[in-house]
Amino acid sequence: MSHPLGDNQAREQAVFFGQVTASVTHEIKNHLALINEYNGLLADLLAAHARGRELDPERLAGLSAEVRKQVRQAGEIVGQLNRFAHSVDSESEEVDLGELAATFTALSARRALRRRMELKLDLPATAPSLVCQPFLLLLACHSLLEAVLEACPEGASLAIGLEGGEPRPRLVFHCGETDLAREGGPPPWLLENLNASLEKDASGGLALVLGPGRTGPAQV
Amino acid sequence: MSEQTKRILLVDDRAEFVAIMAERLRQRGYEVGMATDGPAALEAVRQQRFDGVVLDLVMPGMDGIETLTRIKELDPEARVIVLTGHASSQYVVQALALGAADFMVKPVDIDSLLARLVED
Repeated sequence: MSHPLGDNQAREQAVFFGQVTASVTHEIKNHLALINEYNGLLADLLAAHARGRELDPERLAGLSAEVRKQVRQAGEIVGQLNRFAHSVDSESEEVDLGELAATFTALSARRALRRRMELKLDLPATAPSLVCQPFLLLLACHSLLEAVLEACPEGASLAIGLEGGEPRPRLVFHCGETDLAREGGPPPWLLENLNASLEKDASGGLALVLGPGRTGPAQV
Repeated sequence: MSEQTKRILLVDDRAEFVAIMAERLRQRGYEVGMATDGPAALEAVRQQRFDGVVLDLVMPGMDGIETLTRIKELDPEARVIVLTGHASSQYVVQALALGAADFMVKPVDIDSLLARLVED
């Protein structure tokens, strides 16, 4: 049976969902692995204590703090993954672009790190909102990030900014001094669906110019 | 150091993970080398022989598969255990085909790891 979006569009969305899930669950595994090692070290210290070695309370407190830190960090990334999973819940809703950009940055951090890049997020004090399907907007950001990662030298700093207000807010990707070409990025069907365009930024970045938002369901 | 002391090389881009696992291995009497990327691991293997190597797969720059290939070129007898968050069968097959002795998924029990790494 053919998919209502067409095979290619459905596949792009499924691949995106899979890539994000794989990357984030890998990250969660890393936190679990660290918690496992800290727990193992505590067990090692207790076993040594049973053999007569003195316990160092400061060391125990330090290990306990490390476990708390790992649990907190893993909890944050699980929260972002949960928001991502719920981004397909409705066809159209009012989306806080600041929250969406934060979710996107958190979900994409590991992908950037694999190219030794750190994602930095620059949000205004008050973020605009947009009526759209959040999953498709996340997919557009992902497509743009892939193009930017491809164009930037390994180790470059990558900044995502939210500029402008309604009705045409802009998500701008900057990569240090690199003058990003308007190549790749979100496919035409996705830009059309979001009523968005991809434009060069005056300072060499690439901007996803959004809206004005749809008032009805997205055309998916 | 006694002649019986075994050397293990830990390779993982998470420095915190490498450090704590190294501490636990040292408590068990092993000498431990540490590397947080592929090139550093290769340099360590050039400098001295290790009885076992614990290697992460997903690392920035030179990934674990390439690092494994080059470790085996430098020391075909190196006993390498791949330890990663990835459970993909594709990676398992590739790593074993390249000469990894075994494949384990994080989180792992350190004594089970040691049993497969150096105490066969």
